[in-house]
Amino acid sequence: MSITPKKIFSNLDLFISGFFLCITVLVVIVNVVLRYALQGGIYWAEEVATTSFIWSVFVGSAAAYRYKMHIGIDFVTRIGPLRLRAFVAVLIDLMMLVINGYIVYLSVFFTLANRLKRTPVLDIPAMYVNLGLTAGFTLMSVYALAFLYQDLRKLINLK
Amino acid sequence: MSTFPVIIVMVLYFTSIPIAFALLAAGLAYFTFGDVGTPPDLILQKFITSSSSFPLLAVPFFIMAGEIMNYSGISSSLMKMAEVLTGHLRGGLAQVNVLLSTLMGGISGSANADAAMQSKIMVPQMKKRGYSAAFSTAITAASSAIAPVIPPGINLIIYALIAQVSVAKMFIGGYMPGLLMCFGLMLTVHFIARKRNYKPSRAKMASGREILMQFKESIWGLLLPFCIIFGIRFGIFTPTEAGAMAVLLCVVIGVFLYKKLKWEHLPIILKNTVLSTSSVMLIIVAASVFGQYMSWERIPHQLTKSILAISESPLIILIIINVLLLVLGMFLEGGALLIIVAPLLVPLMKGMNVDLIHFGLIMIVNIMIGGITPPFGSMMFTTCSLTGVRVGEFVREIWPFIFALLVVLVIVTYMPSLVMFLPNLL
Repeated sequence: MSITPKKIFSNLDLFISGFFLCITVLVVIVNVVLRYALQGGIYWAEEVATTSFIWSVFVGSAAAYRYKMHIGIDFVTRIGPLRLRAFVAVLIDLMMLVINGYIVYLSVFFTLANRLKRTPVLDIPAMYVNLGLTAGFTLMSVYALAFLYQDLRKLINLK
Repeated sequence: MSTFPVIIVMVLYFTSIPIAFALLAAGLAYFTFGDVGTPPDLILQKFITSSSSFPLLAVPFFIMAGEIMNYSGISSSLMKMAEVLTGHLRGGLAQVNVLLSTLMGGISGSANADAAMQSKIMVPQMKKRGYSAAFSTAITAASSAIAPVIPPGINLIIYALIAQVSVAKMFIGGYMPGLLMCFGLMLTVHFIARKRNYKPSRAKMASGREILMQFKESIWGLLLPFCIIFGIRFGIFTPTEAGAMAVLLCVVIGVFLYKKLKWEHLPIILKNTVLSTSSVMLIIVAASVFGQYMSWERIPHQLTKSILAISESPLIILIIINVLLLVLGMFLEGGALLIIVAPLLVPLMKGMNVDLIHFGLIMIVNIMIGGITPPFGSMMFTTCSLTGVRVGEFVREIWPFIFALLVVLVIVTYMPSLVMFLPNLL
């Protein structure tokens, strides 16, 4: 399997999330090994691992939404007449857009309110941690919008 | 007490909004429109604190170890081991199916991953040997319920974190219920196979020599869970680090011992790990936001009071809770249910002096039964969608297995001495 720039771009969410997950895993493994090899671990291991994990989780959540991997039931979108199903799909996309859009809006305030805060170990601005949240939910809002567009077209074409 | 967030969750969930988003919407609605005096953006701190806990990193690590296992040759060597041990029994391949889930539980511990893997590998083979597709699918789903109970498992870790009990004890505690489930299902398969004359998959029992040879080949996959548990028990690493070590060991076994794991597997392993991890973690985040609402309204306290009003006998309350969980488990995926309900029930159990390890094991066995029960069992959907069996046919074949697992649940609930024997040794 070759990795082309196009492939990376169309799976950017997975790429970012996978990258941060690798950092998390590697940092923890290296820390354990060093603790026994050099009798001393890395003091920043925990903070780097958890910060990377936050990025991985929220950006990964967007990817999971794109792949429809979030846990739920979907029988409403499987039964009933086609028109009704298409209508419910549009409704769901709309609600997802509202929920995720609202979280993006809140996260901007949240990041601004905490702009002077710094992380306890590395002493970097906490903004770099909190931005993972904004990035993930912004992506999800964009995907919700894209799903909404697709499902609206389906609904209109049915008529 | 305002209950509108609970109603929001139910309405959104039943209109097919994923549970994580339903909980987030309800929690945020409470802090936006409710009379609480906390600006809603402060709740976002919960998003960060609930996902940045170091112990929780065990979740992605064990998910990743399970994924790597599938590409490193560990799964297939465990399958051969299961075949050698049980292939000569009546309904041979069905028995192999059950034992394989039990062995695989020693590393991955995710029911849906196990169900998906075996639907693709075991079911086609079973169909070729004359088993009906519905029966093969049903036993695959039922046996996948064992994997999360056998340590190490993500649900065992998540419960240990919620209840603040020892992960090592929770792990060791999983063995007895897991083995009982394995035994219960194998016995059920035996009776069905005798009635329908399902043949063994090999002519006669494997010789001691053959078993020994296979054991030597499969030893790495079999030893891994013990390395992890002893590593934690003797303080060589924390449970979280144990997860990272499991990843490392799976890679070493796959690359150097079985020589099956290649660089080209990395993207697919990362993709699967990221997707499963994120969907579990987002539920944890959402549940903690929703939990903020519940503690604000003192719901755990109220719930404890009203349950204690019904009865104060732990025996009766455990019946009530088991029935409640079985019903909820029909509608909600097990892991999600555990994350949402455990924080409510743990204080109650503590107050009644029920051992929290014991209660955790009851809960986990219980929610796994929900996963194979219609109408919304998640393992039922996973297996049926992969094998193409209709839910109606599946239901006709699954009930004896559900019954067997319910018997195990009763044993686990009412014979604490049997279940707690191993953890109490620690």
